Amino acid sequence: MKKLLALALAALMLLGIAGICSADSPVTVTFWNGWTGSDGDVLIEMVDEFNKTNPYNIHIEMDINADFQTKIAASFAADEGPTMILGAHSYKDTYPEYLIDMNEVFEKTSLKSEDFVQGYLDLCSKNGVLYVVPFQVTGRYMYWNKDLFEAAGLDPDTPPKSYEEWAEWAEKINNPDMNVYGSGVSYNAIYTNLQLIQRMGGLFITHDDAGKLIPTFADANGVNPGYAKFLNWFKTMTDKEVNPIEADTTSMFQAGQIGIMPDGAWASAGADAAGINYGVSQLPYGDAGAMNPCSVSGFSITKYATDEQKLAAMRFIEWWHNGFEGTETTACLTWSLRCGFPGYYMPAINDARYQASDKLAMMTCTDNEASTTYMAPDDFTLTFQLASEVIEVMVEDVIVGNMDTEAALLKAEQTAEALLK
Amino acid sequence: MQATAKRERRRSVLAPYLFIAPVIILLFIFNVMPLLISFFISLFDADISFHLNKFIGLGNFAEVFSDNRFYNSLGVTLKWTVVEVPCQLILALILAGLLTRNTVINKIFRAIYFMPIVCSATATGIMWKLILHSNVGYITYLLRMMGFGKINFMNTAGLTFYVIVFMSVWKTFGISTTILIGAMQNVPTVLYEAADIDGCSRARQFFAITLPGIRPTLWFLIMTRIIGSFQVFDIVYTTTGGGPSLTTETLVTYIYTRGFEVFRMGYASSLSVVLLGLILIITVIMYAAMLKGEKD
Repeated sequence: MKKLLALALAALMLLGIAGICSADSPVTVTFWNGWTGSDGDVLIEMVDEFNKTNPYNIHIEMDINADFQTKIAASFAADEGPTMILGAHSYKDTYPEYLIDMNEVFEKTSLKSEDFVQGYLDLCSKNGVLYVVPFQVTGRYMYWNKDLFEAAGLDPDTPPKSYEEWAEWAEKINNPDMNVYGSGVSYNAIYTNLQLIQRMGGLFITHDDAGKLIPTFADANGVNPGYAKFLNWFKTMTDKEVNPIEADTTSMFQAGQIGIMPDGAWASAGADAAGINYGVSQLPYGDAGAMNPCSVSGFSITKYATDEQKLAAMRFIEWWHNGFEGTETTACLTWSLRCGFPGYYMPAINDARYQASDKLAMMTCTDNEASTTYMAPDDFTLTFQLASEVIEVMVEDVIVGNMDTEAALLKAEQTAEALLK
Repeated sequence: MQATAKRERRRSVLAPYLFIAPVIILLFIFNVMPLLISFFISLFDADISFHLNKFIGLGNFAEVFSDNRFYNSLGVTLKWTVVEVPCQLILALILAGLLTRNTVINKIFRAIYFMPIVCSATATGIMWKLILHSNVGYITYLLRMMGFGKINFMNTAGLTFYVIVFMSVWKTFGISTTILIGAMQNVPTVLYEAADIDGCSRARQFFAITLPGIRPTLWFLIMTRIIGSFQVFDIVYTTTGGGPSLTTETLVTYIYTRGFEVFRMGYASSLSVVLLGLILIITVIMYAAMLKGEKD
């Protein structure tokens, strides 16, 4: 009898403890991403702040992993996943079956879709489903070293307005005695180069009259003149040793050895740390017209999240953009101000501190006519393959392999056609 | 009585298997099973999340053998094996010969040579990349000061391959040296004493006593280094990513890009199976050669 009583009491105690635990235990949101750089430190700070200040008893358990891409692929393959991830807009093609429709965030939180730049939301959506809520816009910009401009007798506050001017000014800046190159286009920074190529020659894949996807490197009339122009422009600069044949031109810019360079927003942090006196602006438009091709990274919630976790993750996304009552600087604005990434969320863009930053103002595309389409129409899903299999090989063939421009473009056309098949 | 004896016999037969069972189970889970699964996946047009989209039989393998980039990466890998393995082993042999005696100086040198082994391949890759940078690299700068002109170590098709080989040799010769020193120290000293009495030169002693004495170890090193050279990845991926113009793209780098850059897991698996076949063939040939050498 005593034994039975003891057992019953023990069971009661355990139940009580379990009850207390469940009442107080926070909702845990597992949050995976690959932001391992210095911006990752800012992200950690932001997540810590949310964990400390949120009134909903939500705990964001973040895992920043350099091998994020492999990890998420392996995880989905095992039919498991975290609550939330930070991924690329192209995840709408890579993992559509694992991500939920994020339009729900506009119903369940105070976020409004009209506060986001529509072009970026479009980039993250497919067939009306929003797979990614923007977090960071990754475009490419033109950086120039003001001291080198001044030394070459150029106005340090006026960047080149065309690619012809870029090449011409690069020759003026070039100073082999000082180990200085006028231009710093990297031959294998493919996601930077394709921005230049697209501006000069348009999308790499288009629809033909019958609506079929076709590559645009060459056709019956000859090679794409815009792409040929880029390859010749780049090749001429390397032949004249105005542009180095170098993969890592960012380090050279930070060492004050490059006059003009295309790079992402992240390059500004390194240049600031190195004490470079530089300017930054949008890349000039080329013959293909007004264009602002960019990729967008953002928050996605996976199908593995429970309803409770989904809501918690949405509250985090809401906080990221709007903060809580009394928040002076939202995480979204902090991200732009501290990491140098241009905005996509109008309340942050319209903030006086954002507007006061010359760099952010220059990087923010205000041309509403500029197309944000990246590489190819929405129904083409093999952008990674197109970049690494076709465009990267084409550029390297010409710049490093000294292949004739026309031959490289014809080869690219064949490879792209094979890809489409 | 007879039953007990039978049970005892069965026990003594089973006991060794029980002892090796944990290792066998681990090998099966982490080596054999992934291998079989990899072969299974290679029969499908599978994407990154292993959605077995479409059974295509040997379609991936047919594509492998008509893929120019596969042949390019195979060529780079074979070239790597032919250049890197002999360079590393010859260097290790020379250094092991010089550092066999257990003096304090020798021990210090052994430790220094072993240091790159314990460093991360990614860190050393980035370090060499910066040191040899065409414009901001320290060594490049020194060479330019010495009048060698601008040498673009990391971006010249033809040259960059050998630079990466050098980095790999630098990174791993320490382990080969250490293993060879161990083997050389096990060669009976009486043989050298006898050779000394006979007036045999140091070089002759090395070829007539040391080399035959360390032959099993040398075979082991040759085999493991060759297999390792077929699997080379980290140093290439962190320094050149296979460029410029695919001149440093090895088989494993190519497999990685197929799997994790263009998300063709089925095709990447078929390339892995082909690589496994190649390594298997080479290992069998090497092993047969080793056995023949031992018999002779």
